[in-house]
Amino acid sequence: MSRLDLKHFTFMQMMELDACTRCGECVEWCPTFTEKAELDAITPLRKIETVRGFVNQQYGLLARIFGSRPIDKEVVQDHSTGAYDCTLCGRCGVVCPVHINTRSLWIAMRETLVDQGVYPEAMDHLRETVTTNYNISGDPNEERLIWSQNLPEIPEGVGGKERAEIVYFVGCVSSFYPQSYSIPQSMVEVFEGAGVDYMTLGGEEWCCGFPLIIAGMGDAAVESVRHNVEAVRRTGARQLVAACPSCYHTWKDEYPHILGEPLGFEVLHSTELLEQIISAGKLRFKPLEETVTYHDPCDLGRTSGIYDAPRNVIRAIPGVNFVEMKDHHEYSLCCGGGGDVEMADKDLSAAVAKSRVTQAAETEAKYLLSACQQCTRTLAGAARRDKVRMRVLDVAEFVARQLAS
Amino acid sequence: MDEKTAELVFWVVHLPLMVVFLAGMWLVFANWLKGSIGGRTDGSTGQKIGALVRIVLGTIFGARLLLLVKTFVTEAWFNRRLYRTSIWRWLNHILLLSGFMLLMTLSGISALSDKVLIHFFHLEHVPWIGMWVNPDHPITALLNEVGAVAMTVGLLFFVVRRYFVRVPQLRTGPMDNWMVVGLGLILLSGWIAELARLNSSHVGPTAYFAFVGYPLAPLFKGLPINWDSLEAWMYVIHGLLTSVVIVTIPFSKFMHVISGALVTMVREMEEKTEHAGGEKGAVHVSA
Repeated sequence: MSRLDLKHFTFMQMMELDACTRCGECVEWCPTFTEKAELDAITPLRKIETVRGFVNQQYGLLARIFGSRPIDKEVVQDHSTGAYDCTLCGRCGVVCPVHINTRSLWIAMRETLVDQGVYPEAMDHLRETVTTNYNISGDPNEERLIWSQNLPEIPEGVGGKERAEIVYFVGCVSSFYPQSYSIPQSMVEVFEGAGVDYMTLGGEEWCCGFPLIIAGMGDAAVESVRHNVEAVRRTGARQLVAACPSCYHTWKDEYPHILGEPLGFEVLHSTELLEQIISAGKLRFKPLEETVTYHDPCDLGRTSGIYDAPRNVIRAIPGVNFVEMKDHHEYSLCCGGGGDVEMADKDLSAAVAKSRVTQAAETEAKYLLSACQQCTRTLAGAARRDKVRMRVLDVAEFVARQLAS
Repeated sequence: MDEKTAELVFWVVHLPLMVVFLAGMWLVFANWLKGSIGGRTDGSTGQKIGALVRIVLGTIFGARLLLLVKTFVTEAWFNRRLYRTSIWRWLNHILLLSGFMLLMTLSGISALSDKVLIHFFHLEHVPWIGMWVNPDHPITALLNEVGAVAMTVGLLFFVVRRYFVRVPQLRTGPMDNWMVVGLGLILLSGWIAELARLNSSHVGPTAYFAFVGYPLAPLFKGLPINWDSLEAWMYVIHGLLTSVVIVTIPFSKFMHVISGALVTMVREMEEKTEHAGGEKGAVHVSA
């Protein structure tokens, strides 16, 4: 086992390892531990304790006097299982009494695990796929606009423009997973309806790098980051819109950090743009007399702080009876689809999704909306498996359905 | 054994322990410095300290000073987040921390008054200086009692929750046990010292301001103990036990009292000033 390299942690994160009060509040709120209570290594408290133990073993007082001790392989393996079974939902960080920024800390831990070569094999496959195909599915990247084939007429914005005011960054899930095709189709329908000057990048859109970054393989994402930024800059766009919260967060927060410079254009989530379009009175809607609830995607809510825009969009549809689930806003339960957990532990991901769908069913809503293609896909899968009579849609799909002709 | 000897014993043991404490704190700080600062993973320790000092000075002498103070009060001390989550745990926190802060502040003021203002400048006649070295002074007695009671009740909450109720979310280990033992020893020795003082021959007429110790002291007065001698020694023992606990701060869970407060303030200020609800770049890339 190689010596633990602390370069992946920031000064603050090193301090955070010592700041944990071991109060266990995070344990109570952890959605994966709730479903997999036999794996204590998942708990935020245990992850911090384990890494602090590694640091002490190799850099603590006794290590300075008598030399550092090697880290036990089994302990690292156990820690790795816990670290990669975490959905990175960040709920633990919201309730932490000392405000530990847990999500970033978990990513730093994964980076050290990659350094040490102790991580799920699926992550190697992920890295190979993304760095060679430039998307997460492994399909030829030129087929990024395959979702547009079902449109009655392919608009100019979809692959037919070289410059536009807005670049619509579709994201890998919507581009390559058929059950999510209707999200970009809906986005395009809304853009056309509102007269937005937009364009897509087609094969020039590469994976945003988010899956690699959260896998602890951020170095492998740098090529994609540079490519994507250059591709958007060439279009002269003023804004980039992503319907995927993970793409959005990566563009908005990780890209400038990785490049060390501002992007030169604004990054918006689709719900923010939809809110602007609706406020400007550019869309008219058919009424819908139904109860609707909303699931906050972790990367849109807790990670990016966007809670109001999607709710305002939903409430703009006349007749809608909007209700909140038991856990919402910053306390929202994860859908189970984050943190690459679906790749590392599919059953765990499904169990978390089931809990969320149960909360949604308790509201007696007919529609469960989200603003994330991955959440929508995961929750729809859980609703289907549990035979819950509820439509699971993205906010963009919901808006497009209610557009007045 | 007279008071002078007892005090000499205290300083002979206390000072080396404080050297060990400072060395331990430096070790912890050196480990923190192995992390990146301002996105830079390279750079010498000196460069990192320089960057850190610039950030800290920029905050203290910048527009964010008021926010820093407010954040300390509302988040690190009052801990609004904990208040919203669990009232019992918040009570546990606020009693322990407030009691600790009050007693540490009183000890600091007392030492400053005694060893500096009175010893060097002979200011014992100034009432608001002399009062801090007189444990029977109404204000001093009352404040010390309030701090000790708050800490004792807070520690009892902690013990009940962790060892008797056994809340499932808790993971109790050696570090938690040491925290209970360390604080327990400090408090127990403090209360015995207080009883010895209140039963001594020189107790003052306003000692009743020690509202818990004063009614308790007569219950023990009949014991065959030389209270004057015990008082001198108990203060040494109490002080040295405190020193032993302080030495373990960098190597134990006690460290969270310092790092937890710092993290809470920094993260809260980040949220308020830079990126509401979000975070700025979690990835660490070398490319």
